Amino acid sequence: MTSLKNKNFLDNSFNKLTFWLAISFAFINVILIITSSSSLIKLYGQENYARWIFYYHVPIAWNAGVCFILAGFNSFLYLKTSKTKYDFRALSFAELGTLFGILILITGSFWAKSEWGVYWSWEARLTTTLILVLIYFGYFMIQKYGGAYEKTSINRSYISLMSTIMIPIIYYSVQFFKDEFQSHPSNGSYFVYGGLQIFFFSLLSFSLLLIFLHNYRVFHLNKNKESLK
Amino acid sequence: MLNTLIFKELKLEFRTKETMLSMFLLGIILSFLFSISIENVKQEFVIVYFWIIIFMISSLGLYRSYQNEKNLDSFNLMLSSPVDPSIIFISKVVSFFIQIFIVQIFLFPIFILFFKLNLTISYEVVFLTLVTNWYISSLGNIIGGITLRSNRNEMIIPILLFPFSAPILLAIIRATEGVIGNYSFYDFSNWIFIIITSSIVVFILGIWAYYDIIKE
Amino acid sequence: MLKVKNLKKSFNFNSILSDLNFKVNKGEIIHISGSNGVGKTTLLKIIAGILSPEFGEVSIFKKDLLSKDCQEKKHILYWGHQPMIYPHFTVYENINFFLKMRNQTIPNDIDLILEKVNMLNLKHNQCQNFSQGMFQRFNLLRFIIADWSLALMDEPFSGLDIEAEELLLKKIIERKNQGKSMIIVSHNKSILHNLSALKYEIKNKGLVKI
Repeated sequence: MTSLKNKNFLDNSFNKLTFWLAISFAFINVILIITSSSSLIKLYGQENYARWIFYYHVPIAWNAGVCFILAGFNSFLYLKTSKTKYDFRALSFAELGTLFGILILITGSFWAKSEWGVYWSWEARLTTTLILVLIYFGYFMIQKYGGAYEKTSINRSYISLMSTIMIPIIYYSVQFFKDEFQSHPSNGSYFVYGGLQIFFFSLLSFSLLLIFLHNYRVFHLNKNKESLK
Repeated sequence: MLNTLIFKELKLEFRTKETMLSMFLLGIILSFLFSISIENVKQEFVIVYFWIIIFMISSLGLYRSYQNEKNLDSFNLMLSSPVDPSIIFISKVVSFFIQIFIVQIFLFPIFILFFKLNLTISYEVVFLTLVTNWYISSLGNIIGGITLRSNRNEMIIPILLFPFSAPILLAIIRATEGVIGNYSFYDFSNWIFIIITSSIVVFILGIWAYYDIIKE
Repeated sequence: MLKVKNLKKSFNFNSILSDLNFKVNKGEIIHISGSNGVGKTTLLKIIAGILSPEFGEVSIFKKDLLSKDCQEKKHILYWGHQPMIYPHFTVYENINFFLKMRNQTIPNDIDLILEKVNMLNLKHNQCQNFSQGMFQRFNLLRFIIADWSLALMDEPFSGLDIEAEELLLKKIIERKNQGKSMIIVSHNKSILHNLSALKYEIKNKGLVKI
């Protein structure tokens, strides 16, 4: 296997493609959202400005969900095959899932303030995300303090797998819990915010961003294995 | 073999009483803190405090239980013996389950005293308590095994245990409220389903994963 | 009897053992030496089932030792650096538990054996205040009592007094004549000189015959 020590991430054409696609789509996305939100303000008034957060909030939530599930799936593959590449992928998805999860909690709080008048509610999806983020904090503690890489990789894989298996249980337990703040806007109400096309473009843009970030992270994990000691 | 292992765990614990005593004392201290700081507590909140305390003392108990195995490499004796690792896991789950139940039996009268509770314990509440204890024990022993080879297990055990326990905490509180409040079974059957399913899932996962987790 | 094939083990991406191959036949004593940190204890722990290798096969009597079904470990006795006992159990309780784990029972002449290892007076004492030498005597007790085909011994002579050392040497020769095999890791080459041990050294992540 050729050493990655002297290689740059952008030396590879696929990496270059993911980088430029992510950057360009993100740039167009920002412009589209700003222009559409100004028309939303004209339509619905200043107090509904926070609703544009949906163009970010849902794609971020989509990314986080994909990351958490793929982290569990790659962990399962690592346990089955013992190939380091699957563990690196799982670790990358775990980190990105945690990052996007924290972003959901932040963007969700702005949206909740505009929708329900409070920054935080025990809404099922938000609470599930919070619990998963907390679990993955434990995952990273195992990576940091659990011992040699060969040992922590196995332990982390089981934690990731367990959290993926527990997602439905966590989600349904929280959904039954609180009576108030149950109403998470349904898919139909995206039309209210205008621009279903913008929403799907945003979803695509964030997906490309996820692919780029994941590639970038895996590249650096392979290049700097010492960082995992 | 299972009997030998369970007997060894319980014999060691009853001889030293380290784990159960530390859980019990912490339970009393937490009960005292909760009761003294809150006036005129509603009965449904007392269930919340009780279970939060049980989860907190469980993390201490698990830490102590696995710390004992780390001394003098005792755990490696079981690893190097011709014993099925799933038997080791089941023995640890059963022994911790028994320990936590004993602590609950002694802690509950103190709880009734501090919170001036007036309730009757039904078979349903005992059943729910036992299933939840089984979940705590199964999950706790998976996490204990994960942190066995770490030198920061006192830190990592609660950080992993509590988020995974959040759905069960919600479920046991709501289910207990339903039973005590004589609600219709269908009002809280979801919670019972969550508790039972989680206990089974985590137990089976532990049996599958324990061998990989406990090796050095 | 024991076959180790293509064994590979790393710690934090540093390869400790790589493509390690060797065999142990019945009645053989293998002496493994090497500098500190070269992987001697790691090798013994992998064979004992305490550590997992990244790659490789370990089999005893042609049966896989690394499988989840750990029944083949009944042929192995592991004598490690740490005593692997429960400090709040007595000597008798510890040895009883150890034998039960191997589906064996306490022999009738346990008191005689305890006397030989100079632990008869400690039979009903808890082990928590034992010195390193006493822990080694307990390991010696396990070595004598247990039924095994291959003993993995990591520095068995360290901490033993002259009397216990002589007893251990005597028992090693006895077991060898019974067809039992041993893998001994020791820096003490002079003691093993008289045992006709096959000498190996871990060098360049592999096992080299000296």
